Amino acid sequence: MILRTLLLALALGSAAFSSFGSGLEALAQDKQEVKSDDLVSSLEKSYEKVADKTANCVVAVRVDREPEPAPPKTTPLPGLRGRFGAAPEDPFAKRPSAWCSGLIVEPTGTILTTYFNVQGKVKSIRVLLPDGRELEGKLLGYNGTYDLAAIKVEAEGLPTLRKARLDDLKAGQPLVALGRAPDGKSLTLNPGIVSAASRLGGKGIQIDSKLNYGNVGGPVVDLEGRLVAVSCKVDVKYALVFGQNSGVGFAITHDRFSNLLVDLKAGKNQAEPRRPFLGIGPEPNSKKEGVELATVQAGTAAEKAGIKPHDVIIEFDGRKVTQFDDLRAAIGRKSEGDRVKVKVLRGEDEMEFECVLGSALDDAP
Amino acid sequence: MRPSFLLLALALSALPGEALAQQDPAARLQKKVEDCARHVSERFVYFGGGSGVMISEDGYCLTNHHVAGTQNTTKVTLFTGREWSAKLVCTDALGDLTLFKIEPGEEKFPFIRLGDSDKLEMGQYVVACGNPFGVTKPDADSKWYPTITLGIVSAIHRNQQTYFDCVQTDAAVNPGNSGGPLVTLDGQLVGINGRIATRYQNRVNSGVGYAIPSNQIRNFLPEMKKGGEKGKIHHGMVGGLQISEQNTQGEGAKIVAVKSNSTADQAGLRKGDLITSVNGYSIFNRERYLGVIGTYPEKTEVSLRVKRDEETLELKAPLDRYTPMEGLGFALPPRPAPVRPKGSGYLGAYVEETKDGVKVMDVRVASPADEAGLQVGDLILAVNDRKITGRDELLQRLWQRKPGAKVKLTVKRGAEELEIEATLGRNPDDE
Amino acid sequence: MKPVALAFAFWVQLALQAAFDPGFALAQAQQEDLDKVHVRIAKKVAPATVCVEGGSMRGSGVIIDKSGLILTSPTAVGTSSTRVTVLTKGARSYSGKVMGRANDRELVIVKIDAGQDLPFLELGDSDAVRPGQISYVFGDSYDSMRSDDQPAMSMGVISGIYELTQRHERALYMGKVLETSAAVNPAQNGGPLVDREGRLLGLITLNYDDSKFTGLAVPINALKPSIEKIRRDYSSAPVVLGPLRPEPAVEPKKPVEPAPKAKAGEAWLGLEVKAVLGGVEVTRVARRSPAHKAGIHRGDVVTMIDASKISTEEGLRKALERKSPEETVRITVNREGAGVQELTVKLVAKPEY
Repeated sequence: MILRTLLLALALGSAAFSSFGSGLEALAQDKQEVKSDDLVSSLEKSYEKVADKTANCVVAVRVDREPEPAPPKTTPLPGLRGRFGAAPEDPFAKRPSAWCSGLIVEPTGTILTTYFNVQGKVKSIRVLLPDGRELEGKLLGYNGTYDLAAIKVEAEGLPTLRKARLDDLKAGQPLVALGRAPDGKSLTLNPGIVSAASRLGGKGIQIDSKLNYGNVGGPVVDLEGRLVAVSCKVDVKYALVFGQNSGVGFAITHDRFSNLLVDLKAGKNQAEPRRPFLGIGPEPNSKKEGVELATVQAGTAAEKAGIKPHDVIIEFDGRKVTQFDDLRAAIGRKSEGDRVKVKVLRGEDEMEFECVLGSALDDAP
Repeated sequence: MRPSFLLLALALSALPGEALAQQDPAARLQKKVEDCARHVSERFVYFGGGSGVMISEDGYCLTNHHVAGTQNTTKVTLFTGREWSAKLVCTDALGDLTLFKIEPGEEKFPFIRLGDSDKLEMGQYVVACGNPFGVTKPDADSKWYPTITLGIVSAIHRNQQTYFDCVQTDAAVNPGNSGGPLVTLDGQLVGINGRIATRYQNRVNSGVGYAIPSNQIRNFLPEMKKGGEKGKIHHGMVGGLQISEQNTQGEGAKIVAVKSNSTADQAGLRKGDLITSVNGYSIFNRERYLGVIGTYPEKTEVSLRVKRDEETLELKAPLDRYTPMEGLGFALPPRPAPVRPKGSGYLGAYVEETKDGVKVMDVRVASPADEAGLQVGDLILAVNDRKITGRDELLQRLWQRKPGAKVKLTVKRGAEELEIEATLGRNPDDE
Repeated sequence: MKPVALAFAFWVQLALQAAFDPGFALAQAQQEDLDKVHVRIAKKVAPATVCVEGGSMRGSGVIIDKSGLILTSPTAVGTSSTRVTVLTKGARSYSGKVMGRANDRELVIVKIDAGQDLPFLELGDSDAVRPGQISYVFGDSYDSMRSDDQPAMSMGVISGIYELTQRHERALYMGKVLETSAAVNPAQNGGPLVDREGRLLGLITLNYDDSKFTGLAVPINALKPSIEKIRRDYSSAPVVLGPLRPEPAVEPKKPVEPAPKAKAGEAWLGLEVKAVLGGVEVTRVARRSPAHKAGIHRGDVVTMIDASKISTEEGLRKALERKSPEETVRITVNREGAGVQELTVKLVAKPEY
C-alpha cells in the first residue's frame, strides 16, 4: 500500500514538474511586462508598514547648549580655496541647531540617542514624543565607544519596538533607518541594505542608508518594523571622513543595549571612544607564523601578564593567530576588563598567559 | 513510527524550493541581493588602500591603476583572510585599469564572470563591493567581509574624459571602493568602480559613481594578459582628426580638419565628414565618438560609418597610440603646443584655448591637478595672481617650475571664482 | 501509514500546483524582471527631462505638455532671463521663451517649439505624498545631457516632509519641501521628482537643511496655482509673479520651534484657500480628505464653519484649531450656479507620521 502510494506520487510529481517546465516558457513569453510594478508596490507597502509600526517609538530631541569651539576648517581637498584665499568652510563640520533623533527603549521613559547629539555644555534637553507631548529630558549617561547616550523623560507606558533576530543578519538584507525631520515633526525614512553584518569589533553593523546629523540616534529596523540597531557615529570629527549621507553608516545592534543601559543609568560615563588594549607592538618584517612582538608597553595587560618582546603570539582567546591584522581585530572584538588567554612561542617553548585587557583612546570607529 | 517520519522528511525536502515561500517580490529581491552579496564578496580582492576582484580561477585579478598600477608586486588579501603575493601583469594608466596575477599553486579561486555592459539599462539594480575608508577588519570567523552597497544604473555610456564609456551608478561608492567590482544581481561583472563626483566637493559619495565598463575590459584583456609592451598597454585613437565642438543636433561627430598623411587621411576620412557610427555603436556627438574609440587599445581596427553629403561610406582605420590633445580630437589645434623641457613640473591637466579662455579639457586621475580639485571645464585665469593671456603662457609658467613647487591657480568655475593650490609633480613621461 | 499518505498527498498537491498555478510559474519568470523593475520609469521620464541654460547658469527642467511647455527653476536659468537654451533627448538644442516665473517658489515656465509632439509628464498630487513612497530623481548630471545625451536617474523614497527655513546654494524657496533619499547633485535643480507612476511630485531644489544635506524638492502643489496663472495670463511678455529677488522671510538658522502644544493630532479638513469678498475661496482640495469626501470643490467659497464667519485663511485655521479630530462640523459654502449649501463634514486627525 505504501509502495503504491509512493509510486503514484512520484509519477504524478514528475509529470507535473515536466509540464511545469514548458508552461514556464510559455508564460515567460506572454507576460514580460505584467506585474513588473509588483515589486514597487511591494516595497512601498513594506515602507508604509514600517512607518506605521515604528512611528510612535521615534522621538525628536532638542539640545540647548553653550556655544561650542569652532569646527575644523580644512576640507579634504586641502588645495581648494574660496574667494579671498580662505579655506572654504566644510559644510559638514558644524553641528546644526535643528531637532535630532532618538528612540524610546523602555516604557518607563528611557530614550536612546547618540552621544554626539548630547555632547557639550548642555543647558537643557527637550524630547518631542510622537503623541505631541514635549517633555524635559534628563541625561542619564553616555558612552563614547558606542557613541550612544541615554535620556530620561517623565512618562509611563511608552511604546517600544519589537526586537528582530540578529543571528541571521547578512549583507544585502534590506533595512530602514528612521528619524525625525529638522522641525521635529515628520518621520524620516531611509531604506538601505546591510553592507556588512559585523563591524565595530562586533558591536554593530554597517548599512548603506543615508545617515546624517538629523537622523542618527534613530532606530534601524527590518521590513517588519522590528528593531535591529540604533544608528551612530555621525560626528563633526568624522565629518571630514565619512561626511554626511556617504552610504557608509554604522549602527549598534540591540543585543548591546541591556548591558549598556545598566551602565548609562548608573552614570558610568565614558567620553572618549576607547578600544580594548593589550599593549603590544608587532615586528613588521617578521617571517614567523604568528605575531612576533617588537615591543611590550610598560604597565599594560601584556606586560603585567608576563609577555615579553620577541615572544610570538600564536593563539588569542582560543583562536589561532597567523598575522597582526587577525590579532588586532580579535582584540577589537573584546572589551576592556575581559580576561583573555594568550599563547606564545618563546624560543622553542609554548607558554600561556592570562591577560586582563586595558583600554586605549581611539579616533576611528 | 520512525519510517513514517523519514518519509515525511523526504517528502518535505522534495518541496519545490524557496520559490513557493517567496511569492512576495520584496522578499525575492532580498534573496537575490543577499546571494549576489555573498557571491561577489567571495571573489573580492583587497589591494592596500583599495579594492579589486578575481576574474579567473588561476589568479588573474583586476584593480584601478591609481590603486596599485605602479607596483610591480604587491600583497593582496582575499575573503578567506589569506594573504597572497600578486605580480603586475599589465597596466592601462590612461584608462585606469590594472591586471595582476596571483600564483595559486594547487588552489582554484572563485572568480567573477564578465557580463555585457552594453545590455545595462538606466534603472537596473547593481551592487558595488569594496572597502571604503578601509573599514573592513577580519571577522570572528577570520574572513574579511567587504562593504556591499545597492543602487541602480543612473546613466550609461558616459564620457568622463579618460573614463571614456563609463557606467554611472547611485550605489554608494567612496574612497577605498576604487578598483572594486560593480555587478548585476546575477553576479556578473559590469564595471570596475574608480571615480566619483561629489556634491559638496569633499570626496564623500553623493550618489554619483563612475565605473569602467566590462566591455572595455574585454577589449583590453587579451593584450594585457600577454603583458602589453613592457607591462603597459595603450589606448587608441584615429590619428589626425580635428573634431568640432559645436552641437550637431545629434547627427554625429563632425570632422573639421584632417592632418595630411595621418591615419585618418589614409583611411579616407575628409573634412566635413559626419561620423555616425563606430563598430556598430551609434555616434551622436564628439564626446560619444571619443568615448567609443576610448574603449579600444591601440592597433585595433575599427569600422567607421561616415556621412558625406548625400553618401554613406563605410571606412576602416587601425588605431594609433593615444596622445593627449590629438586623442581628444584636437589634431590640428590653433597653434601647436610648445615643447616641454624635461624634468619640468607636472600638473596633469590638459588645456586648450577656447572662446571663453584657457579651458581645462582633461584632468588625469590621481594627478596633482586632480588632487588639488581642478575640474574639466574650469577656465584658468591666473597663476600666482598674475593673469595669463593664453595657453602657451600658462604652460611656460608651469614648466618654469620644478616638481614639488606649489602654484596658486585662479580659476573660474561656472559663475564662481576659486583659488586652487596645487603641488606640481613629476611628469610620467620623465620616469 | 497515515502520516506517510498525508505527506505524499501534500507533496503531490504541491507538485500539481506547480504545474497548473500560473502564479507560481510566473513567479519564476519574474526573477529576471526584478532587476529591471525601475527601467520602465527610466523609459518614461528620461525623455521628458531636459537640460536648461540661461543667465550664465545651467540646470534641469521637465516637459509637462506635448507642445513643449517646460518647468524649471530660476536657480537654473537666472532670475530675470527672458530666453533660455533647452537641450532635449536626441542632443537637440532649442531656444526657449520664458513664459513666466515665480522666483520665490523657484519656478520658471519655458516654451519651446520642437515642431513635433514631445514626451511629457503628468502632474501628481504632492499633498497625498507620504514618507516611504518610492520616488525617483532625474536631471542633468555633471554635463550628462550635453556630453552623453542622458539625464541621470537616481532612486529612493520620499524620506520626509517638512518646513525648510534655511537658504543655501543661492536658493530662493523656503517652505514645505519633500525630502528624498534619492541622490541629488548639482545641475539637477529644476528637474523632476517623480512617483512610481512617473507623475511629477516636485521640482528639485539644491537648497538643503544643514542637519540633513539630503535631496529636496519644491512640492508641485505649491507651484500649481502659479503654473495655472502663468498659462492663463501669458500673451507675449513673461508673467512675473512675486518678487524677482526674494529675500528670506525669516532669519536663516533661527531655531525651529515645533507646533505649540497640541492634543494628539490636529483636526484636519484638507483645504487650501485664499481670501475673497465674503469668505475664502477653495484653491485646492486634498484627495481623500474630509473636504473631498463631503463634496467640497475648488472654486467653492467657504463662508462659515459652524457658527463662525470665515473671511481669511487665518480665520479658517483658527476655527479648525478649536475643533478636535473626529468632530463633525457644518460648513457653509457658496457655489457658483448652485447657491448656498450647508455641508456636514466629519474631520479627521491630520495624517502626519
